[in-house]
Amino acid sequence: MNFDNNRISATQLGSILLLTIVGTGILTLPRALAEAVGPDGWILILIGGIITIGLVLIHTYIVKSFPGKRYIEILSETLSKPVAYFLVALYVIYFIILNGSLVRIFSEVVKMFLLLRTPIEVIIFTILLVAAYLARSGIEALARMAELLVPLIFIPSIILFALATQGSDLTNLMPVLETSIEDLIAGIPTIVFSFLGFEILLIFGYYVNKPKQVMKKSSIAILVAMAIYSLLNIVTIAQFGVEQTVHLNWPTLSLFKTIEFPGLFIENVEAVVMGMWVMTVFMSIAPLLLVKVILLGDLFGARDNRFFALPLLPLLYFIALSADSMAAAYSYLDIFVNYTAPAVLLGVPILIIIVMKIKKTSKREGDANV
Amino acid sequence: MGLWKKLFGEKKKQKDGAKTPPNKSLEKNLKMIKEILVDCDDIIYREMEIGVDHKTKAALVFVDGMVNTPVLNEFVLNNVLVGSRIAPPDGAQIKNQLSDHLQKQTIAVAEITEVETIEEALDFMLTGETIFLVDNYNKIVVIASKGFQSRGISEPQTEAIIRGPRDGFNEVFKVNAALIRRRVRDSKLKVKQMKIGKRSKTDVAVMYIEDIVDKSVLKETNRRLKQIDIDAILDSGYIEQLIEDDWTSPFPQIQNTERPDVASAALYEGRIVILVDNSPFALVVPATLNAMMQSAEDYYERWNIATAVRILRYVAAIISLILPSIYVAATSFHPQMVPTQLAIYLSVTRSTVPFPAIVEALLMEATIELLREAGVRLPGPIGSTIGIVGGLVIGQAAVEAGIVGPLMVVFVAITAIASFAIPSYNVAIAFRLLRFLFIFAAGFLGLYGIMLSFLVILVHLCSLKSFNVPYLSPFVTFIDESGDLGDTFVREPLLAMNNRNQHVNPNQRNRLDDKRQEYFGNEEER
Repeated sequence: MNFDNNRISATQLGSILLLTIVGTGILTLPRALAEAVGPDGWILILIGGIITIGLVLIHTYIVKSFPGKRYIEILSETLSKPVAYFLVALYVIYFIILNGSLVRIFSEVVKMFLLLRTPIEVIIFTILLVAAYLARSGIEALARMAELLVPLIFIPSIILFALATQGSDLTNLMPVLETSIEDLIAGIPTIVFSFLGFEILLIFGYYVNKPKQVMKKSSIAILVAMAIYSLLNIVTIAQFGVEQTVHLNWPTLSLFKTIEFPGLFIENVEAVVMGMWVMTVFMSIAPLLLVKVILLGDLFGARDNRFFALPLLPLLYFIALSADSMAAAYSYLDIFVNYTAPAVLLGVPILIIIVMKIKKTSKREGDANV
Repeated sequence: MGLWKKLFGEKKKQKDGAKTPPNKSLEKNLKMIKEILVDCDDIIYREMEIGVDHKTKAALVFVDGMVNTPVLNEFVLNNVLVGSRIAPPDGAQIKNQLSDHLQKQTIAVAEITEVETIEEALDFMLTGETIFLVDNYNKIVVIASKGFQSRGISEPQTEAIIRGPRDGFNEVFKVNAALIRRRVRDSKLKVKQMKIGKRSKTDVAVMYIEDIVDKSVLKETNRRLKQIDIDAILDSGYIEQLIEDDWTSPFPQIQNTERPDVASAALYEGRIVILVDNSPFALVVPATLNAMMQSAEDYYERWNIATAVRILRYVAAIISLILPSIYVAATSFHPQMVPTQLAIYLSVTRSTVPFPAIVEALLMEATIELLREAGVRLPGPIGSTIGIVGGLVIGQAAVEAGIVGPLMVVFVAITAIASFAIPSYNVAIAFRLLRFLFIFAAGFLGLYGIMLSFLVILVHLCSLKSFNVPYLSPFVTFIDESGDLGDTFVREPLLAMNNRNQHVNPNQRNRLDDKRQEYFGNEEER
């Protein structure tokens, strides 16, 4: 073969980011925001989005500064080898727990809306198998799939949003900026965590063929996610009002359930929504699995990292089933994310950049001295 | 002992490519040829004595039925036997430059060459040429005389269209190359010939337009073709399976066509056409799923009609993939999906059916596949009878017997018709096969199962590549290369089709010979 494989475009990386982010956050975001700041959710989304873009810029700066370097190489170059291996191992555990909880929540929703009598184990197992198939197919397949699914998911979504506005009441949004600044600040972690998933660009950045474009395309991805979140939030609050949204388990799905197509072959669009939703969440489960596969391959110095996809499944299966209930899964995830995400999203990247700068200056000084 | 020999025994030298130079004496040469071709009764040895005084012995050797006998009689035998007596050539010339003399003065055939070994001469002879041996001359003259019976140029069976050229490839490779050349009168069109197959020695030609084709794909194509190690190539299907990227996939990764206009269009797009002797199907690489969903007619009809037809085809592809499984999922898992009245009707009509929906679907699908297979193998009139008997009688009777519900019959019929709307037969059969995966998945996990299988197929299609071009191009790169979308489920007007598809990586992006580029400046570097 004289072709170079395992290269993706920056646009494809952006698509992966977008789908990963939206898949993790979309289901419960309106409720969480309504709980935190009432009708001012969209303001919080704007603030959170801007903060997230800041974080993404930090991440992409690292990717750009080390072109052609895998993440473990970046870490060992800046923070020494043992630390790098330790950190990568921690990353793997972080992603396993994140991914496992996501799979659990996904399966609960599928069970509730589609397969009432099917045991949840079957749902967990099948989605993991398909995700492993994608992880085995490698980064190129994932990238192409992401770019293909972006219009397939978002164009129907926007139509659905438009349809869902019937019978909605914009006055539900009305007391604008009633929430205090303290409440807004307290809500920031919630919203930033709903953008969780973009940290994979540190690992996937290695595969981009034109690293210079990563910054622009990733920021666009965050902006699109921000727009979708705002739209979702506004439409949901306008439809249900704050009081009702707080009490809905799955505000997004409830929103789509209100759509009616009298006289059409498919009377309720629930099936279409669920189908799209399965694709969306799959596209955030699979990248998280692939990230682990790549990190494990790096950790063990394997030439072919595809091997790690299947052995991870039992572990994920176990994590997914470890919570007693959906509520427990959510609270575990919240606690876990509250403790680890700041380190993953901000701590390590900042550390890398600081060490990088220090090394650069010391090297320059060393050069100057010689 | 066997292992010992395997490890330490001497390697047997392969007796490949032995070279025997011809003898000076005609007798010995003929004897040698007859020894090699012992028991080959289809070989004709025509011995003769030529020259004014009948002194020089000579012989023609050819395969019966593979040569053009009138040409041989009129322009070779007549000239050699009769002509040489009327105007005797000069002796020294015959001794030293026989072929030169024959070519320039005696034999009135388009192509004459000379070879130095008997094996080479035999290779030529077995392709249909005539070899000419002369006493006291140590080279063998090869006279082009191929001429065998072949099917005429007829309308392609698999890619019938309403408007457009009606000629199709036939089994003779030279004719096929000429049909393409007639459409590409460009000196940059290259035809690289090679022989593949140890015994069959089938002619295979790689055709491309030199300044458009992607060089790395060309290199890879040649590499893969040279790597083929097989005794015989009987159809281009052999080549296809031997050089494709992923042999486990149900999807064809190389396009085939019977139409010279389709092959030429592919050449103009920067693709490579592989012609195989004895096969009316030319191969086109790299192939994409999108290219196989197109028909030649799309470009000959008006663009808005063609666009509508293409969208219809994509819808048909999806229907042929998932319609029966939707029925299974809706009846056994999600009755709330369908409108209430239909749901009531469904349960009423299905109340007599003793099976679960998945069995019902498999039963009907298997029946229709059976009918189709039987119809293909039978001769025309009987085939259509089978269709009528199967489609009308069995469907109606099955419903009346209470084995299947009437809606199932409707869905199966729609599915079957939809799968015929896919222009490329080998894509259609891939979808037919995968439909069963969907039915099983829907039977076990309902709509969730359908989505999972859809994802599995999508993952598979996304991981596929055909000669380094992603199989789902241009949909998987549509943001960066949005220009390519103009030739997908829409077919933009020919006036707007100024650029070649980017995903094939052609050397010249611009169709209109850089005039526009000069005008607008070199805006894009690719």
